Amino acid sequence: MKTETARLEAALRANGDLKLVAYMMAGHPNKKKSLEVGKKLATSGIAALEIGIPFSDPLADGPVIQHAGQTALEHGMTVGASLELAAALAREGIPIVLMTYINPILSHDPRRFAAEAAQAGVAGVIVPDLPLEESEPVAGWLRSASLDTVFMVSPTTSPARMASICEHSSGFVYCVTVTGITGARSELPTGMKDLLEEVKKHTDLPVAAGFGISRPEHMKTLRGKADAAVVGSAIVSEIDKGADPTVLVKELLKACR
Amino acid sequence: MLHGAYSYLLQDGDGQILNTHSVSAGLDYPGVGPEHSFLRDLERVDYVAVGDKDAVAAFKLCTRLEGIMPALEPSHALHQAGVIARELGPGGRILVCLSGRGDKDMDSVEAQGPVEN
Repeated sequence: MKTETARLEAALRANGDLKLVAYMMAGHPNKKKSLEVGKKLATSGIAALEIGIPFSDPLADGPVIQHAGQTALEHGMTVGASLELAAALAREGIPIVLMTYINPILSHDPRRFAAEAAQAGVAGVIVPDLPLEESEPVAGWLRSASLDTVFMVSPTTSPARMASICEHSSGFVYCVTVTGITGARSELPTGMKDLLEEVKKHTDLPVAAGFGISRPEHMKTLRGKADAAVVGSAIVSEIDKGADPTVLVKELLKACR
Repeated sequence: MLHGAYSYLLQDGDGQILNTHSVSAGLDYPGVGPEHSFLRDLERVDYVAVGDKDAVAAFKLCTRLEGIMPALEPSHALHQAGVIARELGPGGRILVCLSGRGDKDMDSVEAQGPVEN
């Protein structure tokens, strides 16, 4: 399914180079600093910026992103303030993908969430605990606001379900490379190459690999196999330390070429 | 929506799940089972809140009077049975389901200290 804009699709398609998607948590370490760090990331050469909206029970996230979300919530981050941050960063000209869980969207009212995200200039939304089979009417409202709805496949997704996820995903297909939660891992999982090949059979959309991807050598491994790599925990760790995450981003980008 | 279930939740206005506390481990969860949520919406069941102190008191009373050690979860219901019994007066009949045994809860009860009955 294509949205009017198809911005994400264009931004994430590999053109020889692997594309890099950086993840940051809205409101981490606090509202002001996350805007500063987001602006740096937005202009660092990445293809898209994924912004997490903090949730108290982030079931797909490992300790680093969980901690970032908790810190953001302790500093009073809300769905509304996250959308304002997204709007400010979208103005930097980078495609924005929001990543959050279904309960904050339901509480915000999914129709209002879709409208406000579109108004903010967001390109797409990832909701890890919204399975395809239960995705209506939320996905419909996102679509009608011209937002891409990115669904995830994992190593345990059957080929039949993978076909159906790929058919309904828009913008890109998110390939979770591990059976587990987010978090930097030293080695990429064996079997990842086969998984990416399998996903590619089912879709012409760009395929982004995520979860556990953190190092320049991972970028090298992914080149030619995935269109894009999503790096989250490794970047969030840098932000948590008060370091400039674009140093890591530059190293990763070098390895994408 | 928490852990894949759409039901009543302890949450704030932004959909953040709130911290919970209960003396009973089985009740220390921010969600209500979908079946209970449904029965509530059907108005087939009235639900009331009972605190730690009253539940532990009911636990001790039942243990002392009946020689039956109830789990802390149904001890909350036993307290409410006492409230309803006072309304019904002598001759009233109440059925309480003791959904579990209290051996498992001895440490939790002891941690609450002595309770006067």
